[in-house]
Amino acid sequence: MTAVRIDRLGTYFVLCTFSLLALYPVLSILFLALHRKTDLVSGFAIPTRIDLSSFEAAWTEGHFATGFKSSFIVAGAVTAASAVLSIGTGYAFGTMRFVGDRIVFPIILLGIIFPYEATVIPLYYDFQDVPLLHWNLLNTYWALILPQIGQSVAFGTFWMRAFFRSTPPSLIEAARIDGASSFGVLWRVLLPQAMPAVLTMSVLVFTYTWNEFLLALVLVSGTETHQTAPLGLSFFAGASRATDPTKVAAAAVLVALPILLVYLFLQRHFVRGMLAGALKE
Amino acid sequence: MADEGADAARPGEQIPGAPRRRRRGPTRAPGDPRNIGWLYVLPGLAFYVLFTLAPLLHTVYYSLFDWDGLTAKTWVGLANYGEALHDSVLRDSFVHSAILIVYYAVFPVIIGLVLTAALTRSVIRGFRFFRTVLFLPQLIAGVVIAQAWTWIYATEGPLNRFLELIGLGSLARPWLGDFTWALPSIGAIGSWVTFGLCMVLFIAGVQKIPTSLYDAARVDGAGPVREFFAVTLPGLRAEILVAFVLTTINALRSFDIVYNTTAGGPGGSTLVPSMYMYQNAFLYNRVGYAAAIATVLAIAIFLLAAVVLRIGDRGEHQ
Amino acid sequence: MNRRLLGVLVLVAFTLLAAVTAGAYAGRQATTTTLTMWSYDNQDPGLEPVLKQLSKDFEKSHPGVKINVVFKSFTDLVGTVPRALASGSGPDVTEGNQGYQTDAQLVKAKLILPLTKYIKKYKWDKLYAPSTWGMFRWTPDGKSFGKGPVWGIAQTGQNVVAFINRKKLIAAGINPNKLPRTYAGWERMLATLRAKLPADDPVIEAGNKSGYGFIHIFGGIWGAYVQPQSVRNWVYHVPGSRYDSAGTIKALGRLQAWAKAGYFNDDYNAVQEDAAAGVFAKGKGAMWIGGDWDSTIIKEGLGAKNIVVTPIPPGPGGQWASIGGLSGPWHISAKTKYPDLGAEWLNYVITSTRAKALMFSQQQIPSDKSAKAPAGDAYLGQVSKAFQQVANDDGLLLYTDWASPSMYTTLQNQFQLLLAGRQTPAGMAKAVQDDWAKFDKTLR
Repeated sequence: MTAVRIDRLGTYFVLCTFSLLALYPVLSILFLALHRKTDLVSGFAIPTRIDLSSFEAAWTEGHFATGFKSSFIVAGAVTAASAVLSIGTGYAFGTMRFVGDRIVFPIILLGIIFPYEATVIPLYYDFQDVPLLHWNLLNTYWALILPQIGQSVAFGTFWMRAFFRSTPPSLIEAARIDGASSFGVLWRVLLPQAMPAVLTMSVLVFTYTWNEFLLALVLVSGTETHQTAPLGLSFFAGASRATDPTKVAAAAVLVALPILLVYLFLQRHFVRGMLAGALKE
Repeated sequence: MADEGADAARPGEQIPGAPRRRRRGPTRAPGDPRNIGWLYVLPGLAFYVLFTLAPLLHTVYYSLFDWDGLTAKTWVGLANYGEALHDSVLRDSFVHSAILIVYYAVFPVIIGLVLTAALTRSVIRGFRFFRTVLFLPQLIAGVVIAQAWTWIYATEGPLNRFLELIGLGSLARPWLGDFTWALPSIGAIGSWVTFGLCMVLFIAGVQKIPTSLYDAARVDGAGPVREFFAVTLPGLRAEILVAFVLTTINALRSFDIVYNTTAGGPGGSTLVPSMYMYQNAFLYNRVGYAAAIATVLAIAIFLLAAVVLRIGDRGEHQ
Repeated sequence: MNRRLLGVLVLVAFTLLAAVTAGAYAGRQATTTTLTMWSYDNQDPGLEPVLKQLSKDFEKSHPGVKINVVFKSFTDLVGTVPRALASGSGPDVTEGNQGYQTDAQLVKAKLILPLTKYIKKYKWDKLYAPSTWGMFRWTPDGKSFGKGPVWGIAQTGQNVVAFINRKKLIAAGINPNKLPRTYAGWERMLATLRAKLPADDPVIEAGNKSGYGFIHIFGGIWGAYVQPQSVRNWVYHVPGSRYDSAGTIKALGRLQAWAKAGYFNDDYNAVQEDAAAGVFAKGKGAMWIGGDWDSTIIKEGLGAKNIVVTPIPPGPGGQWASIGGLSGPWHISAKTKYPDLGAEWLNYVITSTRAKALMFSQQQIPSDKSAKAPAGDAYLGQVSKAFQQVANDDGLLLYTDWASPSMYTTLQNQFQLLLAGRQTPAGMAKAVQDDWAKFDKTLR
């Protein structure tokens, strides 16, 4: 009995230690943010009093009202659009056969390991002067939304296909025998069951889109009005880290906050999604 | 794919070994046109092709020119690749990336495995809580991580203060400004980002391994080490593969962290290929050369993925 | 319930897309005229409050006009401004950077306007000596630096000087009022400081994280070993100029020797130049060698009476020299709707009496050569004299990163290697000259 007890204690000790390790940088920057500029902070300084002045300063000077608005618009649009598109592709690959499906699916899968950095150069020039239409879409939300929808389709397709494949075929057959069209089957029978899977996919797409940096740096850094929050943080840190690290720390906390909040409430979905089916719940 | 669930036969599929049957059940509803699947696939596929595949091909196209991005292009064929071959900065950047992969992927996987072997295999109460916390690093934006760790590594930051506290003050240094330590420091950030993911993957995976296998091993006289190699490791094959794929992808997306901590310095010791590509395209106005770098990077990533998946597949069939 | 959720998702998607489009249209119907200016003069105290205040004044005298000054770090601004201007929705007026990395590109791609008509209108030709205008001149193909129309205008004079902590000089037995007037004497003084200061206090507090820290510091040493005109020729790509001269190699050797002798703080690669000024202002190190745009930061920390300001004294040639010139060049975007208004703002922040008064109050030297520092501010007098001393000796070395688009990175890397003892002076000189030569070929 004691051996098992030690075993369990050891386990909890290890888990606690590593959990602390995971939290440490977040805590450290939070503590830094809770100080005032004039405190000469050094080390892992636990604040003796909570001072939110750095957060105020960061919010106004970093123009995060605009940054957050941009990030929400972009992440929201990308999430919604890629959800709709991935439901479609996942449904098709998961329940139907059609000419070329064996070739197209792996091509889409490629997108999961795709090196997106390699596409920013043409994206920049093509948005600056859209072929055939000659629009200039730089520094607009479209410049961020459109490519990221494209980038999310790969994972979304993979995820929804896995879901649709796991639905019992008898369910689909029964509906078809009743005369439902393929869309009817999707809309009336499968979708209600798919909501948890869609939610999982959505929280992940939202997170990756919110955190995206390189695309924003290349495509929307020209004007403050369309900067996303992470991009705003990068510029703010560059301009102010030398003179006021507490302000920059506060800004960093602010930028991470929305995702952390969503994570707190929906963490089950995050975990399930990221472990991509290797983990059986 | 290693992670597909039990394959229920889809309508119309042949079940291996069963007597040949006619296609049972419609693959499409009676009123739907043939190949209606394409209707559902087209919109998503269009976005994907337009904004992911096409730009990649476009990058390859640009790499055949000498271009400053502002005036006219000049055709140079493969000259950019010739230059890339002799570019020691580019070569070094790939070495740095490889080193980062070790920190992002190899260390966390090994640590995760070792820890998992040491932990209890019975159900861990409150694992939900630990899992939530351990996963956190994966969700924080690279820019935010960069700010947090720049502070930790600062001259007056927590790491140096801690070293001084435990009497190792002589080891305190400007981590991100040191030629030898800047890259390992960024590597350590990477390990921090991915270790929780590995731990969760393996702990949950180990709980699925039937205890009977362990009992059998013990009966055969295996000690904990043999147990690990004979039962645990093979049982975690799928999880290890997923871990390597996810962590390697993490390592290759290190642009955010590198740009916001060291910007490739000091002296180029933390330069990674994506950063070098960015510099050439948008700072040195050498778009063609940057496109060549991007193409080489893309090829390297695809090759790496192919290798990892091949190894994984081969393991599967053993 | 779940279908409804999907319906909500779809609705949200379309609402967002609609809002985005609506926002794009709405944005065009503004009742005020807003001008956006980009600047990397983000020193506070320093030029940042000056620009902010002047913009507020300008708004008051121009009802219906809003001035939005955006401050970014030097590297961030320089890295994003060409694309920002090309996008058409970038700043109306912005600082650029003299040299082949930034300004040449802006001119070549026709992203900024030549300032000829505004120079005439506002009589800006009186601001600087004729040779000073060279740093703003480019032929429209962006290839010839120093020739052609003028494309930019600068607000302040700048150079790199030493700010020395008086108390530490006295403690080391050095008379702050009788500092060495020769370079050799200067080096002896540094050695004395190193000997007398506590071991963990650097002689020179340096901040090289962004890479320009040592580009700046090196200038004072360089000036003792080469003719300033040869440096300027090299920056301007006069054919046949070389970086790898015997004098330069010797000077690089001296800088490396300073590092070996332990004059610098350990963490110079982890600290930015402005941050190092702040650290020096709080009492670390005997001196800080850097741009005089940080002079107010230092004053606020150490107190005006406790600082001695001087350029590094001349070598055997007798010519005072330092890295310096004028501040960042202000440009007017070729795509702005309000070029005249932008030029008016520039005229205000550079030439008006109010502007000069504000600049002086922050220890900044207006670029207008007719500006006189108000009497009674001894510290300001020192800063001003340090600039005049070099400018009048024609010793301003400009900024060497101007010499090619990749020169900044090359110098940054080479200086870091040199100071860490991983590169020889001759090796560095060759690497720098190779970069110059490779780019020079494309200009011919």
